[in-house]
Amino acid sequence: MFDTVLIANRGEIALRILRACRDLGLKTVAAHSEADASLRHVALADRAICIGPAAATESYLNIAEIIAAAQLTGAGAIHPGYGFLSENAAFAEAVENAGLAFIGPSAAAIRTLGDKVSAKRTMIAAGVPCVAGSEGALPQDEQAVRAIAEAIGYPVIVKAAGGGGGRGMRIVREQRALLEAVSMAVKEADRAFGNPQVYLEKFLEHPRHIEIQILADKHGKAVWLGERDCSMQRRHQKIIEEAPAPGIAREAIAEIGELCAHACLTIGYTGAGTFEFLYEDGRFSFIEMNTRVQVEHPVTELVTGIDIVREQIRIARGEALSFSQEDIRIQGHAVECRINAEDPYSFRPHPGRVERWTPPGGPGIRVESHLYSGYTVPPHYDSLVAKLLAHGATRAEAIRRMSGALGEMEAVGIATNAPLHGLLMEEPGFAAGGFDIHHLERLIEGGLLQGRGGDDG
Amino acid sequence: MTVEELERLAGWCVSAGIGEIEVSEAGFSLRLHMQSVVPSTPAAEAPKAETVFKGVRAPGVGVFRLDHPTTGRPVADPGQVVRKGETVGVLQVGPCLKAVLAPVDGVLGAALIEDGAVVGYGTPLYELV
Repeated sequence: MFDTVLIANRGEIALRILRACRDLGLKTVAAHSEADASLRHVALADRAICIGPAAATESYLNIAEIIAAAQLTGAGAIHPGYGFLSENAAFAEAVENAGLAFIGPSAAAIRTLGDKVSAKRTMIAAGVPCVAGSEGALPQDEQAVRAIAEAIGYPVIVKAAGGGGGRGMRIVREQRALLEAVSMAVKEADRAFGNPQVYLEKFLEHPRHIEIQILADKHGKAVWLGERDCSMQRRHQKIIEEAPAPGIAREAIAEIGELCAHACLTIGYTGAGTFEFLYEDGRFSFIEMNTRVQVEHPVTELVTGIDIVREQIRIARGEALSFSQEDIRIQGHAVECRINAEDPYSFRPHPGRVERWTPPGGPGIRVESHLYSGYTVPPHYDSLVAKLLAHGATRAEAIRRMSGALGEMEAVGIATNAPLHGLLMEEPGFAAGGFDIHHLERLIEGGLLQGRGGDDG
Repeated sequence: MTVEELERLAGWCVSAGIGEIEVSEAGFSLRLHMQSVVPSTPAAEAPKAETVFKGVRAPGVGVFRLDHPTTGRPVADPGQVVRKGETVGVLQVGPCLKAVLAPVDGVLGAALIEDGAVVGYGTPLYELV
């Protein structure tokens, strides 16, 4: 069994993984790009190795170099974090073939769930409710495509089988726009994802984004750790997440949670994972599964007291889950704000040197960040620099604590979106809870940011 | 003395951290007194020295080999004149060998890394002068 973990990621999640390894008594190797030598986890790791230049394609996405780095440093396992290679079946397979442990599900599971068409087919077979839509990829025959759209009912959305994160989607509101949208989507999907397959789904007008966190070990045990509401989004990017989801009956959550845990067993899924759903009119509709740890996992950790990253590593070591479904209790309410190094109103990235970093603190506050005073945020990667989390007995208390934390936080030298989060904490729709995924875009269109230094976002 | 020469002289003084200099030639003498040239420069130049390294760097991760694993002979010798693109070392990853190439023409200095050490991308391996 492995005693050293190579961390094939950067930023806050790399630090988070390092801490989980340390708690488990495991040694760590930080595999970093040339631009990331000054990252906090690189300094804390037992060993660090540069795997390539700043460009992610030549470093964090370079499968051969990462595996070589693991072999040369004596690492027995690779933790991919999120993003980069975390959901790349070829990477998981290469890790397995090199005789190393991939901290995540099997390559086969990633492959099945990474393709949206096969993921949906798998979920339907496992009894997980899905959005009404085409059975698999659309056929060539135009008449058949029209008939499928007719049967689903307009509006429909054309999605790329190989897509994700909102890319490669087209909304069609009437029949005469259908065929053109489909042929455009096919071309786009082929270009962007190397997979021309597209499928149709009913387009939901006002859904919320609700997701279920699961953990499954290699001994036939799977649990669900409650839900997260991630409806505060801009351009399909989540910016605030919370748990539990306001205004949804616990019985309804439990029902969908049980289905997810059960699905893991039928699929043979192991590790941590997230089932993402759209929730509208009291119905959950599966959209995709994330076969990795998610950015917003600490929200669940705060309300359940379970260390998801530690469990992920334990599962990869072949250990059994140390708790069962009955042990999981949701305590209080947790909110997470993603702090990005960007202008809060124009959303332009704002990397640079952090002259002074003063994280917030106090009861119920948790900060996940790799920042320190004097650190330079490089321009090459995602702009997430910190996650602020607030936990309280009630949602109102968690939000109050978050407002305080946002006000306390100081990142002198770079711009962050903390002021936008501050505004949102006070916003009536957010305070009420239960808003849909278009809420933030509507607020922005309605002038939320006007007169605040740029509304060109 | 031309303006260009004067500028060059002043530049040398700044980089060498010299505070005052006197130059005299026949019928000409010059005295330069440099004002507060020192304070900000050393700190600013320290990290630069690292990135400005012009020698031979590792092209990837691997075990650095001074001797070629198949011939057992040194791949290159210190003091040797090398051309840009010439193989001056070898990185080994399992059964695979990766050539370490000279980035420019020059004279190879002594190896900066021991034979058999694990190196990462960009690790300085040789000075090149």
